[in-house]
Amino acid sequence: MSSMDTPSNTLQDSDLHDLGLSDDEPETATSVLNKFQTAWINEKLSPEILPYQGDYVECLMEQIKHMDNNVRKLDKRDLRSGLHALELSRIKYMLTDYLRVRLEKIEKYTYTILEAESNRSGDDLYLSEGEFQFAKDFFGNTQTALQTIALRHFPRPLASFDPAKMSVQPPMNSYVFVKAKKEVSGLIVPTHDPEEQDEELDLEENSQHILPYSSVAALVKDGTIMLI
Amino acid sequence: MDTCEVEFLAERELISITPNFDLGVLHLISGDFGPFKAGLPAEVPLWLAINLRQRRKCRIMPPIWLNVKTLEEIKERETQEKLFTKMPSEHFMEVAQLLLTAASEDIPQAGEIKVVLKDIWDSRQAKTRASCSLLLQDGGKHARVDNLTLMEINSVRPLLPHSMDMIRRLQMESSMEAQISQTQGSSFASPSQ
Repeated sequence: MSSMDTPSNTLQDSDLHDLGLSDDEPETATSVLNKFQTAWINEKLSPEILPYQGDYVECLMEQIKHMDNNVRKLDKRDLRSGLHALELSRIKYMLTDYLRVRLEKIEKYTYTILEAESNRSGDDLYLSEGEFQFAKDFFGNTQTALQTIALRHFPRPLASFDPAKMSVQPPMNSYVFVKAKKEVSGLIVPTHDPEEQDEELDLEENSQHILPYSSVAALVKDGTIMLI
Repeated sequence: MDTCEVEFLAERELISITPNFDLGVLHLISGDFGPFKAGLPAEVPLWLAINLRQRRKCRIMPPIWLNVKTLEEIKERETQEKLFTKMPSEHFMEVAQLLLTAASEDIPQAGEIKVVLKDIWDSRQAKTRASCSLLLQDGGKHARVDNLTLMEINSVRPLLPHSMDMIRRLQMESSMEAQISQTQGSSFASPSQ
């Protein structure tokens, strides 16, 4: 009996049990995949870097490794292996694009991200270990490059490097399309006209809106709202 | 987002196929599908259906809304309503396009369907342009966009969000200038005492 015949999505992996969130039923691979897809789209569409979904990434990588091994074993069964391979390449695409988008943001907003991250701790961190190391290395290398190419040739008073002044901030006020997964009341949309009041909005469940990202940032991170 | 990425998301929609092969249950990470028995319908994700169809391993059954009559009704409703009406699928355009390309023999009156579909798309695009224009003229700070599909939302990116951002910045500039001229006005007033 080939191992492909056993349901692989109600998994034996300890990862899935660790993932079991408080009162919910144990996670299946399918639900992890669905949640990861939302996290991926949120990351693509948000102006700032979001907390790293390490649990989902690791779980999916395990699933992929597991499936990859199984597929390699059954080469003769032409139909199954092609279909499994197709699904694997789809999931790998989502994972790599997720990581790629995050690296792009790290490269763009290095200093801002490092500053913010240094004020966070433990469970609250936004970057994975690898990403944090990458950010530090990238920052250091940029400094060295600028120093070597230009700065050391400048007259003494000008030859300094103030990263805070040179840093690029993510556009937190840019507009995004959102979908409310649950009802939201009392969302504040600030106005820049001193004559007008800040507006307060209520969002119905499953309604779609275009709003400034700054108003919904916290709700995106806790899952009440998703970006579309 | 790229259009192909929107299509990538749409490919997870479930669709009915009639396989011409026998196979047990397919245990994918995205879920369990099958068992497949030749001649009996089965539900699978669109990406799977298209792949099987391309390998001539199945026929695809068009979704219940993909026929001339239903689409004509949808078009009527859309042209009459001022707001956007709910489409039969969150990914109606992508699903229709993929099926019409990969499995046009499985869909009766494919040609006419293409025409009605284009009419629906055009009418909704026209509404989108008009509402964007209205939103920006009102100094848009936020808007409700129910019943717009992902493909349509993506078609106004990045133009609409960028324009709204521009308006916000211009409003900020003008209100800052107003504040500055107010404070300057009061300091000019004092020396004349």
